[in-house]
Amino acid sequence: MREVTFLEAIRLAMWEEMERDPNVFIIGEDIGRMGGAFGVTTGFLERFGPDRVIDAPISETAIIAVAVGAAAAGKRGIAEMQFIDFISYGFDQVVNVAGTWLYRSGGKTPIPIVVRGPSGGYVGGSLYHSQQFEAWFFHTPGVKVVQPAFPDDAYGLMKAAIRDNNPVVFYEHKYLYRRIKGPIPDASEDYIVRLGEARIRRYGSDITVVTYGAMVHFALEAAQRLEKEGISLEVIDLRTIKPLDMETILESVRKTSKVLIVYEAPKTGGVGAEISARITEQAFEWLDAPIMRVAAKDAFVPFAEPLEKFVLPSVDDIVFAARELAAY
Amino acid sequence: MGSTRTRRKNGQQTAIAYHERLEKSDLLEIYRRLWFARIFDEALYDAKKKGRLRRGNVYGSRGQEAIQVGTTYPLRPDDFVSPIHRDMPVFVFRGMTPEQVMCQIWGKANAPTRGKDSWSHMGDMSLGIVHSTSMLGSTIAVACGVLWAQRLDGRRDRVLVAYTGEGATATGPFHEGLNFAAVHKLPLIVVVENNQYAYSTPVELEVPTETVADRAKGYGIPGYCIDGNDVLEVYDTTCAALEHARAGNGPVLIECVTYRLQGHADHDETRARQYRPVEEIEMWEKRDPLPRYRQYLLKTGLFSEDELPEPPPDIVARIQKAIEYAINSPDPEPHTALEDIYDESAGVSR
Amino acid sequence: MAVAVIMPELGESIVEGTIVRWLKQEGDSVQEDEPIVEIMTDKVNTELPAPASGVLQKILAPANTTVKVGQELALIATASESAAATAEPSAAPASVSTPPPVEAVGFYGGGEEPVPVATPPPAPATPTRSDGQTRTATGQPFISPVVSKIAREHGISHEELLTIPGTGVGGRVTRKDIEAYIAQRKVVPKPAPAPAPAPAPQPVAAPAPQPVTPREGEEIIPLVGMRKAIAEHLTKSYQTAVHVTTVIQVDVSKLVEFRERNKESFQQQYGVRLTYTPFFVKACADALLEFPMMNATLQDDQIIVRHYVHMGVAVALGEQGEEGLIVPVIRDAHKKSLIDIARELEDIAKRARNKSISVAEVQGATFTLTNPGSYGALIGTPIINHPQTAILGTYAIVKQPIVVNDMIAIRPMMNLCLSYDHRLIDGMYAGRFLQRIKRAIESFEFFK
Repeated sequence: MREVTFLEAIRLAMWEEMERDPNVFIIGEDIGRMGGAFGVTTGFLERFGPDRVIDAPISETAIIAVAVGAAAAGKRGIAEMQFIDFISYGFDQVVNVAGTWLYRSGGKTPIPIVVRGPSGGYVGGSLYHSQQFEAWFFHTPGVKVVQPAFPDDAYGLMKAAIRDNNPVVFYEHKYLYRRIKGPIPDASEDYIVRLGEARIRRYGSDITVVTYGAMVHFALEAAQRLEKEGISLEVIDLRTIKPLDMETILESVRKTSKVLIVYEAPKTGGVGAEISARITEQAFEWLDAPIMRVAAKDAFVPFAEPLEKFVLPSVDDIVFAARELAAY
Repeated sequence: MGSTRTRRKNGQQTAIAYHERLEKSDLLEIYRRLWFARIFDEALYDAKKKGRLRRGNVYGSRGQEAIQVGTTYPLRPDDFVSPIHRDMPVFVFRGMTPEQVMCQIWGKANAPTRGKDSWSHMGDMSLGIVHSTSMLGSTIAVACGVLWAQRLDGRRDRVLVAYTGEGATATGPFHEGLNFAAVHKLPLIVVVENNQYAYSTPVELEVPTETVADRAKGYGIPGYCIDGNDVLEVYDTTCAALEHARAGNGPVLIECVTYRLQGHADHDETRARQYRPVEEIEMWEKRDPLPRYRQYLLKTGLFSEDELPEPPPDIVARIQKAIEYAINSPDPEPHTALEDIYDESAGVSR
Repeated sequence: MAVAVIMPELGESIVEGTIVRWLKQEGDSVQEDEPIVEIMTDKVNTELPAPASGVLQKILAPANTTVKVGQELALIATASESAAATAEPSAAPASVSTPPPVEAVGFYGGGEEPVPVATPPPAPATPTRSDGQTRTATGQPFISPVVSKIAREHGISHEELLTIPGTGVGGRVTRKDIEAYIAQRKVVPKPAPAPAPAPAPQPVAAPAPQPVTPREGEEIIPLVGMRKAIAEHLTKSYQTAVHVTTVIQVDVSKLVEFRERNKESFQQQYGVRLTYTPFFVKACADALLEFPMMNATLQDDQIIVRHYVHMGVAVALGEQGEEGLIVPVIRDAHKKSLIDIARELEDIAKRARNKSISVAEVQGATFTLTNPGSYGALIGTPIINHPQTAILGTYAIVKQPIVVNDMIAIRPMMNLCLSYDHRLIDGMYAGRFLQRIKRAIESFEFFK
């Protein structure tokens, strides 16, 4: 076992996959000479050379397209978005080119790419360095969406995402990069975490909390506080957003009959809305209260601290919502 | 009014007349391919008019056959092409069967996209035909990725010919792709089919420079502006570009000046004679590449009139046979609409 | 008007504190900034000052309670009617919502200071949810889908549902309420079905039953009534306590001999059939007084230790034991004599088998005794009767050769198997408890 930060876990996963499979390469801005804006690819250029570690021009479309085109021709491309917010530049490549290629090739041409980058707020990143619009890709067919919360999952899921034959958009919450440390297996164990499997991070009996990313940590903190009030939260870390693990969610709903979905993205049309709809469809008779959501306000993430705090969900928000739900 | 001026590279003729190395059989094959492209177009328009093809648009390429033939004839079997909607015959020239193409157009279960898409959004990586989307310009960026894979495989001499219209040179992905290819000296040949109109928009509303080839200066790459209706000039220019690219000197832009004799698609026939002056259309009809090439062949003295039928009947029959085959092929089962969305063969996902 | 004393955030990441003591009492007058309460946190002990002058009207958080940052600790009745600010110094100054137009007054004009415009206070950070109606338009209480489902599955009519006490918002019946009701309802005697073992906790909710079509050679029996109750009770027991079973062998020769010699006179003198059970009840009860943790129960994070013994004695129902199990209770077994125990045992066992036993008689046991030896079992691993901490099984008496004073002797031997909850009990404690019982049985001092 190795004790590493969230960021280091991602770095090691990519490194080990590039060692393991010469077809894997990575392209992004400032990833070679500089080792990436956050240092995720430190040392990669020296080890793997400029053909496999490409310092791209400022062209998110080209960055993703190179990964896509190479994947069509048998490679496995990792396209880094310096901030995942910039994926909007290359949206067409993800959604219309990569997402449909298998579909319009009679299943013959899979596109194994990982489009990854730092996401999320709480760091004063403001409008274009704090986004969490995973709902865009949750909604589009042909693309998988992953958002781990712990180093071991980040590590295992990155490896699986690289090995998966489909386009995967991989959200790495920047707030967790250096704040969270945890054990990950040794390289020799060839550890992967399968996509589409949620993990219960805390067992409980009163309320099912469904969440992902940095919000998992917020939910766990809320759970600790609420324990003292006799409210027991079961916290489900989705890990993968698409494919969605409804089985784990439903099993928990049958246990508690009360659901709180927590997601950092704007509330309207977010992933939590879909989860709520599915729970109602599939477990209506198990509900003892309306399904509640804690999410960001329907706004962009602003710069000033009081503004950012107002928009984004807090541990208090989760605590208040859980209290209400418990009392319902 | 579209540009009718043509200029050679740097104001000079292309140094080598590559076509002089062609044998009689090559010349005849070029002739037959031109006719294949022409009949393909006519047969589909006819099928649509007669209701034999009921669904989907036909994007005619009448008048642009010289580009399709001239840019593909000099390619090696292991080169790549990235055709778009006005390059359907290119699919056949690079190895797909006419039956496959017709099944695609008829949206049949045995089509390359199994009915998921019609027209040109198909491909076959094993034949080096790269699939495209409707997002014009994106093919140029994707081409960089295909070529990068070749670089990783140590195959820097495999060329990719990517087709685009003059309008698509206005898009971001065109720029980002060509910029990247030029920076990294990828063997990418961008064939700009300047047929003067992007739907109803004339070229001067798409391109601010005198020629589309002028854009090449911005990337530091050679830009040719040639007569796209002269199949041998297209052939020669392509050969020059291939040499340049295979030698590792980076991308080349070839602007083939031509004209879209029909509407943007079969639904556009009437309007296309309204947003364009009829005299303009008639002028370009006189520059039809097929009779032009036939004249040239006769002038060489290598061929008799009989050897150059208009059209070659066997090609007509072949295309009809392909259409019959498609019409009689099965429609896809409804549930297959949900297939081919994800490839789970890696076994690492639910 | 009352001013609240609020628990402040005494340091980054401090979320709560404990009241050590109040420096002022209710009714005392206080001055603004005067220390009124001492708080202890992870990082520091601190005295909090009064946010306003007045009278300490009410202490909301007494000493030794844990309070959260932002919680109200007390109320101070201020002298004047003028509104005072809350105890916390306001963190952010009121901000300007839009900049007011600047007058062009040239170099010498008095430029007005921008007037701070208070922004409206933010809405409380509670998620909006559907209007919390827990009564329908007709005034009937709201019944949630899961409560409706559970009621349906357990044959609880709407009328009965309305009688269940509800702890939810507006007094509605929650899932927990109906589950508790069902658990307790099983104990109420009905003409036909037998009561469940006491005290039955909430059963684990099962997913909706799927109808099963029997294949050839199969028959389907629904899991209902006592069987279902037993299933749920034992599942809960087994999943809650950490079960360990330990075995001791007891030489019951004196016990056997006594019974053989005295069973007839016992019957005549006391009208009671003498079995071995009363002896074990007595020996156990005495041992439990010496080893009270065996007699305890764990509730949340508190161990309730009892210094009295209500002995539950398991009774099998039905000819072949096919009608389930019931555990009537001998209350205050530690105070009763052997004879009393014997009498009571015979009585309740008879009434249990007759199904004429009352609810009270199957409730409140602090320890359970079971006798698998009665059907020949040699050794076993009984399951604890939740929420007790241990259960003792007495097993078949078998004559065996054993070593006594370095010589072989034939003695009737019996295994005692004690299953205990390792969360509370460790091996040695259990072993010594068993040894205490063994000594009592072997020395046979019941009539001293």
